[in-house]
Amino acid sequence: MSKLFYDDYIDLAPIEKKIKEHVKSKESQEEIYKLIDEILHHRVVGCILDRLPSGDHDQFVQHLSDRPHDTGIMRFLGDRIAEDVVEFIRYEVHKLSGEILEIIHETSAPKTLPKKLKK
Amino acid sequence: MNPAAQTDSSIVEDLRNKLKLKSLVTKKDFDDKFADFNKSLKDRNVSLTGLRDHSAKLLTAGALASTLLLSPPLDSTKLVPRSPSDILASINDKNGLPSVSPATKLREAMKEILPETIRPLNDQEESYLEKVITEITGIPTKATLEGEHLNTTYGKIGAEQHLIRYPGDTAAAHTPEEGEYGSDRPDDILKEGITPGLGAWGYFASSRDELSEDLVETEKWYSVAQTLYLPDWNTRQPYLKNWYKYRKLLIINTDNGKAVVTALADSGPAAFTGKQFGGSPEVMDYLGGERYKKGPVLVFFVDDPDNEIPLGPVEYNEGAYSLNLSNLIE
Repeated sequence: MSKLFYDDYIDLAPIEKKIKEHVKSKESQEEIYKLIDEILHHRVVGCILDRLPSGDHDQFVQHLSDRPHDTGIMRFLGDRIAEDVVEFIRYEVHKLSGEILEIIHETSAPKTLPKKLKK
Repeated sequence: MNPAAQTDSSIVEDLRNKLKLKSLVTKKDFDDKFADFNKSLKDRNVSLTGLRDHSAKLLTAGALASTLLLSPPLDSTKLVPRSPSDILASINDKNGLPSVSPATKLREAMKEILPETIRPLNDQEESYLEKVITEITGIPTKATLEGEHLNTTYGKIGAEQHLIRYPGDTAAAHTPEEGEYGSDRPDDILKEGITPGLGAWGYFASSRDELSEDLVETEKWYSVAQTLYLPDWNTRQPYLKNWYKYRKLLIINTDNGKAVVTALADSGPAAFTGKQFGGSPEVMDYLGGERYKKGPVLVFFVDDPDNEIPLGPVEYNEGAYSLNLSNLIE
């Protein structure tokens, strides 16, 4: 099983679709999924730590190491953060989605020479 | 550089390198900003990079019991359920036999056993569901078969495209023939198109001529599960890849009780899609209709050692139904 406490609030399906368009090998697709997943974990946990009072960080570490799948962590965070936790996680994921789509676009767009080098 | 010279492999290499760089920068920023947090995690032998693997290991080891500590009381009461026969008997009492349909029974039993929110199920929940599903649908199901267990048995399914069956296969070649499922509305079956690349097990056949009827059915009723996230996927090869190839899975839409026997023919979806399973255009159409793109499902192995159970819809809701409670193993 591979569930994380915030999985219900992310949906980067358009990124998966774009990757499948450009990356045909299953092994390469899976490698890229894992890279994106790593970036996602850091960005989501980072945006939580930005808002969670430092006195609660130890307890958050404990929950994350003992039961990272548990959606109860969202309630733990909701009780300690004034902002809407789902809302700011979704916003962070949305921002990240834009950044990754831009990388995919840059990578897959046909590359042309600068005008001055063209004959 | 001639645009045509930019090959697929160079695009993949470029994309991989850019994402690796972004990953490094993101991790460095995080480490600089939250050094104490990172150290605390490290002291517990956990890293954010390996968070999904860590979760998979904990859940595989049965750490689900600890979920109770953070779950709402409403959810936890469901973890002390009545026996499967009691659940089904109460549904009969409430609705009055014999008028209640098998589909209603299955829906109500699932409502009683399943948690409020989608999450991996514990052994007891899976065991109860195996009994209820087998009893009502007649399909022998197992959450764990021959020691193997999917990464979850309760999750969200998403719509997939047709898979390429042989070199040169096209979306149009998947048009249902007269009398086949969806032949009365082929556009609905074809609208998702065909995948740009191959499924996890490659071509189904080396040519159109080699594509048997069985393989046509396999692609038509194919499913997708996250084998790539199984904790032992990389260490138990090629056994696991062979074991999972075209493995029969029963998928049940928990909203309407519709059930279909599928063959696992691709790995995915990516964890960051919020989905855990995928279904072919035919599978999704049967489970939820032409507009069905995503929804909650149960996915169990079909225990069919002699390969007697056909792929496709399970029409268990036909005709009068008499529940045989004595078949339930307590």
